[in-house]
Amino acid sequence: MNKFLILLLTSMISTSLFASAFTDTYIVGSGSTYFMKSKEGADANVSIYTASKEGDSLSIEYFIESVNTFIPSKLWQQFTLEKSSAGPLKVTKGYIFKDGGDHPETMGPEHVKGKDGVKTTDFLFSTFEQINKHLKNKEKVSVPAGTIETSRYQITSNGQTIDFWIAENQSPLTLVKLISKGSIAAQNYELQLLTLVKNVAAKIDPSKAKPLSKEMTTLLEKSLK
Amino acid sequence: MKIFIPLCLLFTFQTVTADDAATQAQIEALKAQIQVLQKNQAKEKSSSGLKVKDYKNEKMKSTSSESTEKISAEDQKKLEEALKKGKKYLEERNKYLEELENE
Repeated sequence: MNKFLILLLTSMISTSLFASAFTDTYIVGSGSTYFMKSKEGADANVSIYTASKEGDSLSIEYFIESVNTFIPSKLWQQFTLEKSSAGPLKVTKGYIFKDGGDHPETMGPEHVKGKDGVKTTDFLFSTFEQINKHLKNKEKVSVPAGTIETSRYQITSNGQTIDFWIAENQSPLTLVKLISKGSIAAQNYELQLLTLVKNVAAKIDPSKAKPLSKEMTTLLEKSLK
Repeated sequence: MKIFIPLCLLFTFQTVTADDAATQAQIEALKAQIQVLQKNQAKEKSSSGLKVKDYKNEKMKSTSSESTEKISAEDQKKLEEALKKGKKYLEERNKYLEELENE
């Protein structure tokens, strides 16, 4: 798995959202699958779905599958988001599971922090009210999942510009398409919605997680550089 | 020589028949593939015009089929045309073989 993909997914965990009973919006097992095309040539299918929820705690699972490598690689990651008493969401736990592994591994706090640049879930786990200041246009777009009316938004931060298209009148917010451009290679990628998903069972069982192995630590360290 | 020629003819006939069977099997396989794809498309319920895939409480193990499982109207038309051509080709070959046998 290339480092920029993990970087993106790590950065997709927003720590700056304010919402009361935000977990009500999310249905366990529901989410989306995207095709991700990168300038680095490591294309992948990326799925994001709700693994579980309890009170003000929400667990999101990612499934990343390379699609153009000779030996396909698969990776699952799960993050727990919790709403603190002050309001903002915090990523409290992170787990990772590599295809062929015996058990999930617990990620350290240093691996679940976001990175600089545009945090993708600043909109993915947001509301229309919170992102409306970035609205540019209303557009009808076609992606593999279908043709749909969307709103196009644009966010620029630290030399990275993200244009993203959100489906009209869908809750939670449904990202249909995203184009990221930036000065460094890892910031240049595109996402297109392949399909919405439902009734997906979580792959990672946190109760079976063991401490992070040396191999996985190296992989995560590389991804955060 | 008298034995050799009929043997050659028999071998050619058997080869042609085997070819026909293989082509027919290919056509049947393509038909089955179209049916499966159409069935899958029908199963996918749309939500505001977007495709939805139901995993029926299974763990997500592969999504690669998402890129290849879809069949566009254009591809379906091409497949149907190929099937028609295949059928026509088989009919002509069968007719030719019948003529050969009658001779």
